[in-house]
Amino acid sequence: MEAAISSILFYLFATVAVLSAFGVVASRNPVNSAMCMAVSFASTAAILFCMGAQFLGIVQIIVYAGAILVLFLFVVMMLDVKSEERNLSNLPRAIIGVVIAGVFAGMVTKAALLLPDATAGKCPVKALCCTDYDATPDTTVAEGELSGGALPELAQDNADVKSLGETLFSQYNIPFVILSFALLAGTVGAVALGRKIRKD
Amino acid sequence: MISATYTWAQFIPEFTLVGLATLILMADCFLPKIPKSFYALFGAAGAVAAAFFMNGEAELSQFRMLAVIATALTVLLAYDYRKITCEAVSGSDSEEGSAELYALPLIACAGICALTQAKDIIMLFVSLEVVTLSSYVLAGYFRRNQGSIEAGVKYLILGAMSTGLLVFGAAWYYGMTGTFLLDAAVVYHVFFAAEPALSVGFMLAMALLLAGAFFKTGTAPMHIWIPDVYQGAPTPVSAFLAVASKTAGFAVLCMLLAPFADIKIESVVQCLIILTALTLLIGNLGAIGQTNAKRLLGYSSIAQAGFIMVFLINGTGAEAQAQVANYLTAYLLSTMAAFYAIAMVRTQRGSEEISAFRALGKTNPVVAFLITVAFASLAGVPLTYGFIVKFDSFCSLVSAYSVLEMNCWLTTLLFIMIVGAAAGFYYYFKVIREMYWEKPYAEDKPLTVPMVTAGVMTACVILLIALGTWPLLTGNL
Repeated sequence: MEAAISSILFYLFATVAVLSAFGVVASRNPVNSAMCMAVSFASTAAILFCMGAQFLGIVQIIVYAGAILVLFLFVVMMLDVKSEERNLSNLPRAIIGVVIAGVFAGMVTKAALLLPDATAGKCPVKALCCTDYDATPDTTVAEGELSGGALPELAQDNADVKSLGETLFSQYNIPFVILSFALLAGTVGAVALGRKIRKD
Repeated sequence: MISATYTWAQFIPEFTLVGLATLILMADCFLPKIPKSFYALFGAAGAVAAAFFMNGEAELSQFRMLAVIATALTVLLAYDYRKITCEAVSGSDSEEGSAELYALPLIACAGICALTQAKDIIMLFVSLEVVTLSSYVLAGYFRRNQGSIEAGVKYLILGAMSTGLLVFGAAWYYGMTGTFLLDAAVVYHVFFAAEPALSVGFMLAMALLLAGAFFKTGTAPMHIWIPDVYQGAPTPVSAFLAVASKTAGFAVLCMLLAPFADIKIESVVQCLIILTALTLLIGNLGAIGQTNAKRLLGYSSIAQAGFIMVFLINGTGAEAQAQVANYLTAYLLSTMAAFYAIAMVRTQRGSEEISAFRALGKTNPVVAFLITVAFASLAGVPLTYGFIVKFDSFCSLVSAYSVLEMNCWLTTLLFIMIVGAAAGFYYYFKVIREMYWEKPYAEDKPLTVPMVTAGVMTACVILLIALGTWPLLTGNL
């Protein structure tokens, strides 16, 4: 029964997240777009909570909904961005876009439905194959986090913060450091593109 | 969970490069008296020095070397291009605000170097992001130039989409395999040991990951950004995107396809053949009508990517990787020389159109010869290295007949390759024709060739001719 409820919640939040993401693109008023984005972020966070990844969910809310979105709204208000005017001359292009997106969505859905147990009412996402492969990977944590079912070992106190921290600073330490180069590049770029040049 | 292991010592060149970039940024901030263009020379010298820390044992070490050389040449090109940079950044002769143009390529290069050492998708994604983020900024660096801003925005939006595809692919990869490792054992397991339904999801993952790589290499259908961005971006940045970023893309491609070296999956090969054919057609036919030299090189880079992809159809093992790296070497030498020429013409004649090369054969015969060799090598004229590698590409396709049993597909591709190579002769020779057949305008003065440009172009041309004639002399084609 527990699994069924988590499934229902997953589909509920996922639908809200997708619909509001659509609203971000479709809305003509930038403020509405930003608000839709907040809803999308919140429902994504809810899905993370359902999976037992509380820390990620909290980070999602604090960083995305809290910091980034507020920044967006500030910029929208400061620049006084007007509603976008609808341009109908792009209709053929829009149709092509819809067709490509539709084909892509169909492809992904087909692949997801082909997965084992996909139609048996379980969450289709699951780390599957390499459990019995030579250097047997210890996928217990990963499977637990992704299976969407009951999560006995992760439901305990802050297990995901600990495992997240451990993975980040032991196994993925070097990629983590390399990622800081990307942040450096981003910061330098923001300064370079945004600063005022003194007129001599 | 099994995962790739890295050692800190592997990444000394990357840290050296980022250290250099940080030094330049600090000096820019705290030592305002130093002329900014000095940083270009410093950065280029440092990048070459970083190359000495590299051990050549890694699988893709040739790619890494190419990336470092391309970055050093980019920064040197930015040195000769500084007059335009100053106008476009600060709107005056002041060099203020131009130091980042010398530091960011170094950071991007660190990303490419880390990329070539990746063994799992985490490292691959992280280092690719370093390259991409720096490139966004670089493409839009000329804030007072509308073309550059347009290039920056286009590159940002399309690049973000390709990153999205890559990440989605990574998620599927993990979902299907339970690991991020890129390894032949994983692929083997998915196709032959696990449930058959998994292979469908795995193919979706590969398709999405490859789409991310194709964006960097400029393979159709992810090529759309190339002409616009190359045309609008500052010329040194276009050179960086054309050479270093493409090298990164092919490194990713080789890495993703390497597990398939011994496992021939027919649909993967078919997909590669179709995309290669499309790339060759779009690149070569699109280039024919171009009048802007940078846009021409944009289409040329798509076309050349098509020829490189042919190696990966034949096989994806170590041999194919070496062939790809050789082709990229030829591409680097000729494209860099071409971009140096474009930068020089732009600085002194104020235009990037092909017509601005008019009558260089009369006013600057030596420069005209150097440009001729560079473009001839791109077209694949015998006695240049470009011919050798293009010949290699054709040979590779012919030898694929015995490996793959798809004669019909391969013959169609061979035909398209011949059409592409022939078209190449037309559009690359447009530049050469402009230099020798057109009459100079009355106000045309001979170009003064800056030291760095002269040195780099001469070195590139000597290498192109030497590498192009050496196999003929030794009979070792």
